[in-house]
Amino acid sequence: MPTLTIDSRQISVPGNTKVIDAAERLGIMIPRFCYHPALGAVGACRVCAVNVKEGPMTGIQMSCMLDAGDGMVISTHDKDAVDFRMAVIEWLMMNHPHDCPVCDEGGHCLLQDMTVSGGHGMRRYPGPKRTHQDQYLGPLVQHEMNRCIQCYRCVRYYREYTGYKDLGVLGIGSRVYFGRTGDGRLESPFAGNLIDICPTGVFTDKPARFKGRKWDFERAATVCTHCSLGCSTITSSRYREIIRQEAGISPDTNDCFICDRGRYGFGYANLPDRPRQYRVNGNPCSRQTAWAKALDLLDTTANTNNPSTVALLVSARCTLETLVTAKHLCHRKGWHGPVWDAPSGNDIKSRNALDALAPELVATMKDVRESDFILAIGTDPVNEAPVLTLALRQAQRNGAHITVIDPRPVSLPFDFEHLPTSPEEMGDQLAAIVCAALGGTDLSHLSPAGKAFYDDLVLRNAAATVPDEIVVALKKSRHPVIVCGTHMVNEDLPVLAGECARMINQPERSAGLFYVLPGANGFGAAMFTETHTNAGLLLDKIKSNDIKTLIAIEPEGCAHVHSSPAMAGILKSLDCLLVMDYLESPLSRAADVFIPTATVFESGGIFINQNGTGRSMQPLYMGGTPIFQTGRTGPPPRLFESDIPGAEHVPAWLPLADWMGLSLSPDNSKRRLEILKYTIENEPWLSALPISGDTGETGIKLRIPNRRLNEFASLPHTRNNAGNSNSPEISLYTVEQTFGTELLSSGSPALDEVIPQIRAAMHPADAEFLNLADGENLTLVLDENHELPCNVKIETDMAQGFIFIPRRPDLPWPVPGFAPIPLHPDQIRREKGDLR
Amino acid sequence: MLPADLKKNLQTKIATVSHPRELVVDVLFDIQMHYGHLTDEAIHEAAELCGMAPVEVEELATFYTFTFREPVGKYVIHVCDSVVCWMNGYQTIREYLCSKLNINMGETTPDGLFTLIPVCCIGYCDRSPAILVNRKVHGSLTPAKLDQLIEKIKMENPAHVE
Repeated sequence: MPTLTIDSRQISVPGNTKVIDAAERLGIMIPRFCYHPALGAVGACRVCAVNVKEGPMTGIQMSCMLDAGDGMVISTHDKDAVDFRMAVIEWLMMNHPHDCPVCDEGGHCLLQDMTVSGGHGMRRYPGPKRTHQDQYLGPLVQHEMNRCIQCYRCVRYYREYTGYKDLGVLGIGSRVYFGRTGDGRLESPFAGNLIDICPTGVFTDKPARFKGRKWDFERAATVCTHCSLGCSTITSSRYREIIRQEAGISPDTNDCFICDRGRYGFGYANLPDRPRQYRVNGNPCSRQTAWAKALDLLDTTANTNNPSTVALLVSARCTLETLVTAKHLCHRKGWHGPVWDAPSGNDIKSRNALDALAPELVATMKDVRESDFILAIGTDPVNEAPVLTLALRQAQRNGAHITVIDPRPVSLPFDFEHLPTSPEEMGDQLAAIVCAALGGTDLSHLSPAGKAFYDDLVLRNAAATVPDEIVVALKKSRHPVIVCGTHMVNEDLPVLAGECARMINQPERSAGLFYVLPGANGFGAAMFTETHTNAGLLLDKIKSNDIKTLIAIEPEGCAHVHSSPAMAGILKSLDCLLVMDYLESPLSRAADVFIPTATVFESGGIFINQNGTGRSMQPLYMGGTPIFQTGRTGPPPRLFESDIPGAEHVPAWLPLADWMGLSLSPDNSKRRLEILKYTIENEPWLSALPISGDTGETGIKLRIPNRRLNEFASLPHTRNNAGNSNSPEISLYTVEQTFGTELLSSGSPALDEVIPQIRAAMHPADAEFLNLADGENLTLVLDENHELPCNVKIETDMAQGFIFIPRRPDLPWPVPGFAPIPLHPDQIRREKGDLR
Repeated sequence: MLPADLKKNLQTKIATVSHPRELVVDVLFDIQMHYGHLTDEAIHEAAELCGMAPVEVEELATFYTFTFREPVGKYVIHVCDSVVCWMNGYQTIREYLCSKLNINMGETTPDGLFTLIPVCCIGYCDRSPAILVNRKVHGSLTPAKLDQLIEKIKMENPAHVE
């Protein structure tokens, strides 16, 4: 712990701390452009100069390049340092266009701040400025090269941090240009971070262009709800419209960066056709009418039918408050549910994952970044949990060995080992790797169950062969992490992965376990929904008339059953359908009573991410129809009312609490705290959450009581050997894609252009067997009523015997929950005529 | 598309080194030798040959003084633009060249014979001011010497029309 003096104040810092960071700990912000905590130091911009008065080398030095040493005396404000910085800034500003009034960066521009604080006010250089032509970089990022001060942050972030290779630095000297080889969309799904990382206005948020300055916005720290990672975001709204999102800083999750799905996925909250009115039988009505009608319908059902004919459907996009209230309402009323509306089987897999998530194994994204061996099984990071890719990339940059076992054509922006494996065989491969790595280790300390589990691994080991490098890398590793998905896996794989992590967790090797769950609140949904049912079974019960009333709260897959002709009939057999949502869907349009709910930006709420960290979000704004939309139809209204137009929505938990008979305050903010108190007090393992609802920047780590008390699970040997390779059938799976499959962001207009067309990925051998060429149009005949036109994409790096298509919310899928469909070659047709 | 033998030559050359990217500048020069300058297509071809991303090759192609991303004249004149030449008459010979060829720095004569490009120190300071004509150095220049040089080239290329 070197102790040094900066501006006459002493501070002790850990070894390897740079002087710039040491000063920041004292609250002294040394100017900087190129230095960024996530990128490290390069000393390119020369603006962080300080004067070293005492130390190994005295005089002007760059504080970002200088390690804090014991006994150093540093001045940030003596004349030499100040003059040096002023000269550097003047020189950096020489070619800058001074176009702040029309620049979107203005107001939160590091260059503005540093120029003013650096003391450069008057321009002395009268010569011509160098100018550049800008490039078209796609619909999300706006390019304006003239504003560049050559700090290199963008290229270092893009190429080094994320590993994508289509942005570079061209030219030399004053011609230095940051761009692509030509116009075109930036390929990285993390390109939006260029906007945050650029210290000036070269890269700005294109959809948010000219929509406001920082001080115009209502801004709040939020949590991203577009996958299970729970990244920190900062959301800005203006005129009742969400305008933009930036990455928040959270060392345990996203570090400093988010993906473009998270950044631009908020559009659903602003949509002109967002349902903002209460409706009874499809007709707009007042809140009182809808409320009374809902109560009336529920009373009638309760009187005429058994309460168990009422079912409650929730999803992973519900807040924790809604899920807990829904659970207690169901228990109190004897209703069926709450049922988790998740893609087929993901509910059970998620529950199995949480069962196996031993507290000592829980890995955060930080642990992933710092790990030296990663085995990702049954997950496709870029598509399922994009920012996880960045964490893997950091591990890889630090020399970690990364293996992905997954049947899909997994593509990551760095070198890794991919073992394309069918879901049936993934468990054997995992077992083989762990078993081989444990060979020769003393396992005498294991309990009988542990030994039995190990014997099971040895048995499975015989069924698979794995490359030696993986085993060697695991043997050498000190911080291995097993990442396990919950979609493209068998039901027992999450348990197997958890137990394998436990098995390799030894005194000299601390292993981590990292699950990828479905949805923003998959953790909460897995904990608070009924275990022995799911969306598919629920639809069966509706068909068999066992369920007569369905209350759907912010549903996910089921919201779209109507778009599929086979499912259209199912809802007709219901007596009553109540839908609460902020999205319009076939289900909401069919509702007898529709209650508009608040988005997370309007209601706030708690979400539990995939590692069990509870993060709360305060309401950002009141909501209501954006002024841009209300103002479109003519002059402003002459009638003065105190209501906000289009702000009738309520948090989804409010009607539930009302039906349960909870008496809540009419005041919004008080009510929020009351429901939070109810939530925390009624679920003992949530007691770590503060009653105030403020979980701080890092969130609160929730640890579910481990149900097996540190004992190994005995796994049924469920390996299915029936699928032999001679079978002509091909399994058609729906899979997640970075853009276009996640329900909320797929409705965001900003992302329309980046959603790729539907392509059916298949192995070259399968394509050859079916006589199909890459790029060919074909029709998949799902059943007699459902056909799916798509385009062949031949992928060499995937398992044989599968076709993968993106799980678009609007796919007319004939089976509930997007369950996979076995296709006979006859069901795969060329656009014109049959294949054979 | 690169001509088949050029491509084959390059591939043979690349096959001799352990990391193909080591040879990217050589590959660029060979392609430039063939076309006279580096076309967009050439950048992509070189990237493919060396297993690099096109933008990585573009970074190099736009960085160096002797790789041309635009068509240049048959004779490329690099005019040394550094301190010792500045002291010894750089300005005079630069202005003389510009007016004699009737082009500005960075331009090519309409007949496609000459291109003028400034270059930083070429290490011929003892005989400054100096220029390179197609990489061949000429020093201790005066307007009269430049006249000789240019007339000689023009004589050698009597009917040069691009």
